[in-house]
Amino acid sequence: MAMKRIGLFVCHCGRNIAGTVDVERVVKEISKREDVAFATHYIFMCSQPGQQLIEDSIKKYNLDGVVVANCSPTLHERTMRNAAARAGLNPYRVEIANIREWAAWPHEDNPEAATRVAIRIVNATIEKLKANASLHPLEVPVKKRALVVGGGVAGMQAALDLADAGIETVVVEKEPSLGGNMIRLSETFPTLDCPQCILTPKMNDVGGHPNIKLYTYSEVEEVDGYLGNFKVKIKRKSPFIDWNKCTGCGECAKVCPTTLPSDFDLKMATRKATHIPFEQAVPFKYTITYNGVPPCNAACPLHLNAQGYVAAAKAGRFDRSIDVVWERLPFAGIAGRICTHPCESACSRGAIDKPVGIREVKRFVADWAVKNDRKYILHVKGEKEKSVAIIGAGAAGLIAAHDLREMGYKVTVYDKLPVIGGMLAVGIPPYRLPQEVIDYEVQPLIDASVEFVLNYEVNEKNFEEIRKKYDAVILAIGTHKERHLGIPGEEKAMHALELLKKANLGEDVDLKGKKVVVIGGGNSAVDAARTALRFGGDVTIAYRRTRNEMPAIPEEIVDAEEEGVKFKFLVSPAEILDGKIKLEKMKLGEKDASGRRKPIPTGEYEMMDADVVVLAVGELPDASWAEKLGINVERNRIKVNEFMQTSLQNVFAAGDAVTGAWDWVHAAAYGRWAAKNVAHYLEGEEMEKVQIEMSSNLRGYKELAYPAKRHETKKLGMEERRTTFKEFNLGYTEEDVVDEAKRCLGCGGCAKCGLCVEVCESKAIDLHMQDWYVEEEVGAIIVATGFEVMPPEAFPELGGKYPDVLNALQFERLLAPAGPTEGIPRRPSDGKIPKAIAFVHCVGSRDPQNGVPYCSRICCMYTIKQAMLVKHARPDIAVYDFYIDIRSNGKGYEEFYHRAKEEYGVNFIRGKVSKVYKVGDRYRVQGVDTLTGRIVEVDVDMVVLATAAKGSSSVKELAKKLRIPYDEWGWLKETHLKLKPLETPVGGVFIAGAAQFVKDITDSVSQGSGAAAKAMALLSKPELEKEPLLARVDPEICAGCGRCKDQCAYGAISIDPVRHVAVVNEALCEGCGACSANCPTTAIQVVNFKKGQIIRAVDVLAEVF
Amino acid sequence: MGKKVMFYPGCTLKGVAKNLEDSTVESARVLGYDLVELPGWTCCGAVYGLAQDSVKFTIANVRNLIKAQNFGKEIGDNRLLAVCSMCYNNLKRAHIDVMKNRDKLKTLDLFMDEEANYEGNINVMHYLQFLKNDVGMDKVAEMVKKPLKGLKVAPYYGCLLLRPDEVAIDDREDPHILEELFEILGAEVVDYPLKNECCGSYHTVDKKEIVGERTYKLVSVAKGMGADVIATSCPLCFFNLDKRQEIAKQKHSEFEHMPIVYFTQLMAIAFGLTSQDVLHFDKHYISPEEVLQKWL
Repeated sequence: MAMKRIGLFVCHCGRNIAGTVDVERVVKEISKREDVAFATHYIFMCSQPGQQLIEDSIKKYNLDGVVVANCSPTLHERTMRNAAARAGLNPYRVEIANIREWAAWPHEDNPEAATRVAIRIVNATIEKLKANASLHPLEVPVKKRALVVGGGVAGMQAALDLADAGIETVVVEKEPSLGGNMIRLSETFPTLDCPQCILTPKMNDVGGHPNIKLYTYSEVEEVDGYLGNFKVKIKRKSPFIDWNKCTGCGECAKVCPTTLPSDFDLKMATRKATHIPFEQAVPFKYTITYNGVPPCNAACPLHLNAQGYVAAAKAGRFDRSIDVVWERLPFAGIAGRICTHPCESACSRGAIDKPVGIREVKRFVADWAVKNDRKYILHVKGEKEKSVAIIGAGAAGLIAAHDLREMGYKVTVYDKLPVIGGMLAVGIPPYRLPQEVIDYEVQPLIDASVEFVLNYEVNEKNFEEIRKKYDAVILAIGTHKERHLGIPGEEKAMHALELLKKANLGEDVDLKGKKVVVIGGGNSAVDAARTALRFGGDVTIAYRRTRNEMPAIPEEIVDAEEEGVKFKFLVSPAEILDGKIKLEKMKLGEKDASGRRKPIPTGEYEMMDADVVVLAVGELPDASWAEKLGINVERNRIKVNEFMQTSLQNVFAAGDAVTGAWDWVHAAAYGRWAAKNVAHYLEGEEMEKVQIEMSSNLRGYKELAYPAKRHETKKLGMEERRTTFKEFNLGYTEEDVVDEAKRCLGCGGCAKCGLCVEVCESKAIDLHMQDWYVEEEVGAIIVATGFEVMPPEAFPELGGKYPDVLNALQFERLLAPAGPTEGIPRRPSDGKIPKAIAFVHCVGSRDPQNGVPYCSRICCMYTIKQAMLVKHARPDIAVYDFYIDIRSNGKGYEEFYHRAKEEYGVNFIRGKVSKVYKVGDRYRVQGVDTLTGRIVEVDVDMVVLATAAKGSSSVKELAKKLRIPYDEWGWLKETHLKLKPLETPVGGVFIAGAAQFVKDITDSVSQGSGAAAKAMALLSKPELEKEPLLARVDPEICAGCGRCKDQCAYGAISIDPVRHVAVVNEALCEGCGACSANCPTTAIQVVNFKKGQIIRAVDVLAEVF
Repeated sequence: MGKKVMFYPGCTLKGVAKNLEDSTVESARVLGYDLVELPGWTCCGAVYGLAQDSVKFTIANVRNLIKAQNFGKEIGDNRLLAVCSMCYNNLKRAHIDVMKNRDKLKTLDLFMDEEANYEGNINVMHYLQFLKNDVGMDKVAEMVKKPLKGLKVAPYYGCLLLRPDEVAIDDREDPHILEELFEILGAEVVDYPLKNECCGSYHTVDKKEIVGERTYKLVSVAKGMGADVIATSCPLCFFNLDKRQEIAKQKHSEFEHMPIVYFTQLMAIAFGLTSQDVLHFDKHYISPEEVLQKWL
């Protein structure tokens, strides 16, 4: 019901309003309104008499609505409403007309305009007020539990205060241990307390308090709900160690071969992948750091754990190393000799010098296993009824046979050759891959009852029979057909495969003294050339492009060259004659589809002596017979779908027959996928799309790279190499393989080598442990996530890239008694104790152009402290402290500064440093002394930069989840800087400590207690009152379109599936009104802010237009 | 005939810095550009041109920009290249100044009533920016006939290429544009930390000793880092670092001389242009002939 007896109270606000606005005239004008029963003005409505005036007038004049024309409602709306409530009038029948910020202050120079505007504002307010309903606050139940995010000193203090008050508190900390930044420090200013001594009791209290639930190595994942009723989903990151079982004995760290830079020591020291951050950690449990799939593992088409077997080799544990290989691949010796090593191409070490010799490490441990009689055992996981035939005992076929047999199927492998291995046996020459290696590694398959039928060619005559006999077939027939050039005289030439097969099967080919020309540039050409050389020939490789474009493995080309193979580039065969070959000269044109420059014929020819011509111009699958049987073949290759399945349902294909001639590892990878999908097919399961590519953007820790050249393997003597087919590459020696493995940069973090699992007596380690989630319900949340300081690298002009130029937190670790240098300041570059150290204040702070505009508050004090501690440790070190101002504004701070000057002899120089650069072994600091007006240049051995502080880097993500604001430097925004520094606009979420802005320990602890007190006040009531100015839906009008739901930032609106109307969850709604702005039918509106009310008010305000 | 681009030489290039002018123009020619001297150009005013307190100091440069505007329309290109750091700084700042302060432009336009009004579409570029953005370092690499392999060069930017922010051609504390160029030319770049320290500028006129001390510091540090030459862009820096070595030597007997060159001279040599008509080693106090002999 519209109000008829409204009261108006115009405030003078001293001279703030009355100095400009004619308050009497306002009262007079408004009194003319029929719906206004009483109007007056008074000097300070917010004063006690002012409020008494409201109360008395309400009673006296029986007012049914009140407008107070004063300042912003954010200041006194609550005050005035409370006054009305005391007089028995519903507080929501009171509105504020802001005639100070909106009328008096904007028009200070024009009192007439100010007054007119004030009258209009009051009229508009009355129009809005008239239709206000009487409302009552909601009551919301409160969960009497709290969450503290951040286990630093502020967070811990808050948690302890809450827990001591009987409130169950959950503490979430992202690092493995409590302690934050404070536990890293050497001593604290101004008391020079040992922070570990004063903080560890708190840490232990938090860890052991009956009312505290501690989750370290955890992060907040999701926050739902509202003040008094938050539902928080917390991610527990996997430490790969069950902390319920871990005793902290440290045996795992002793055997771990992987070293990583220590985050706790800010990269001033190293630690193992399995570690405890520091000796007083709470909880005292080990954590394994795993970064993700390293680039080597990702690049390997089989995704072998390359980092794993290299890490085990590094520790000299070759038994573990071969076990790691065997977890995914039985053919270690084959792979270790002939793989094209995509892992090495991706190796991060390659960016520094040369990649780690991963393949040769694998070869070493494979051979070691043979020498030490360790055999691979194929474990059949339960016999199955179904059977599979594999056509082709080559790279793809062998691995498919292995995998399927392991799954329990009956497997028979057919091959037309008299030996097992396909191209491995007859293509790759014996000096690269001896047949004994193949036979040794295939034996476990035979031992596990994989049947091999050799000398049996499968073609259109017998295929259907085989297909009927078995439940599925895999075609892995490789590429054994030679490509033809189509030039005259071709029949006089020998094909590479022919020559290689003879060599592999032990036949002799007499090429002594003969001039042999090998046409081609791939591995077959190089293999054929080196084979021909061993048969006595005088060999030249003729290739139509240049050496850069040769597709053969680069090491093989070098090996061929060493053995005496000659090369002729940019020629293509035109005709083969007796004793000669006619070659056409080529030149290189634009790049073609393969990314290499195309060879272009020039029309010029030359003749070359050639007793024997060997063509190695490509191999093709021999799939014509398959086509006859209805298997789709395209461009000579067997066509398969994304599951490796051919056009015949139970026939799959893999290897070179599908992809064209490629390398062993891809054939094996596709073979494995074919086997996987055959199994799915046989079980009637859904098949998986083949996915071989995997990316990894981990790049390894460059700072761990020490200069170390890649080791060369031992090779057979050149005479033997040239004349026999003995294996020419003898692999690494034991010392070399360990040294080579040490070059690995540990990109993936934990290598998953398993050496720790062996020694853990509590059986606590599980390298397959996944992250898991827990849910907690709390009534209040305190965010105490601390701060970070900028890295020295951000300041190149101050020498940030040099190893001896550090930021203060890094230097703190060098001063800490339990730190990497045991409290003696030493240069990271050479470990020497410096003769002189320079400290630079305000690096990045107070610098809007290069850094942050604010002062980082704690740097003056900690720099003075560090200077004193240096002098304390080694009084003879010269200390230069370059400052702009000394900000020592706390209790005992100024006195501390004077001690530094007078007792310890620190040289304070007032002036900014403009440049730091290296001169020889030392650093020249170029600054200025403004008190004497002179440029100062001083040579020192270390520079410590007091870099600017910023909010913790991960806080922005957390703030978004909590919906609390933050600024561009990561500081969380408080509701009011002066009066509400611990509150956020989101009810129930508080902030404390350096997360709000960098501050010292004293203030952090105070804020921790303060935030706890705020939370306690919230949680002390069984129920909370919520403002009723919320959205409400008229279900008669609502069409259920859902636009309001899309707008709601608080997730407060849902659409009722039955009635098809919007429903508002009043507990979540914050009354912002975004929903009503978007509603096409005005079905949803915020109470007391209805469309009609707003329009009438706007009409009044806009009446001048 | 290469692509025509307007070129503002500035006074010094016509006299003591002829080595800078010719090496610039000829190296540009190799890259396919014909640097055409702006007809009727006048002095940029040097330090006077930078003065902010009176409109009249900006006249000369705005007039130059107007002339560029006219000529630019004739040749169909609105770029105005300068290689002298001071001239570049002056012209660019004048352009930015009058674009921001339109009433200043109006005054100048009215004053220079015999000239067209400045429409503001002249793109003032330093030759290094032109090389990096318009020509492209790949093109420069292609034209290198004699890589300066083994020559250790300390790049020297001085002040005017990097300050103030609005005209800086690279980061003022840690620029890399000269380093990039020298690497492309095949030289070994010295990590020279004083590359953006002031040479002493016009103190060379009446307080030579100040410049002598600066030269002593800048050259000896470069020498200490193993540099064979210091390469710069600004004729004033060149003069200070080169000629004032005389004073440095007088005051510091242990001081060792080092030849100073322009970056464009190194470009010319790398492109195979070794004639003295291009390089003008006679303009140097410390001749670079001996140090650069290998590539000449």
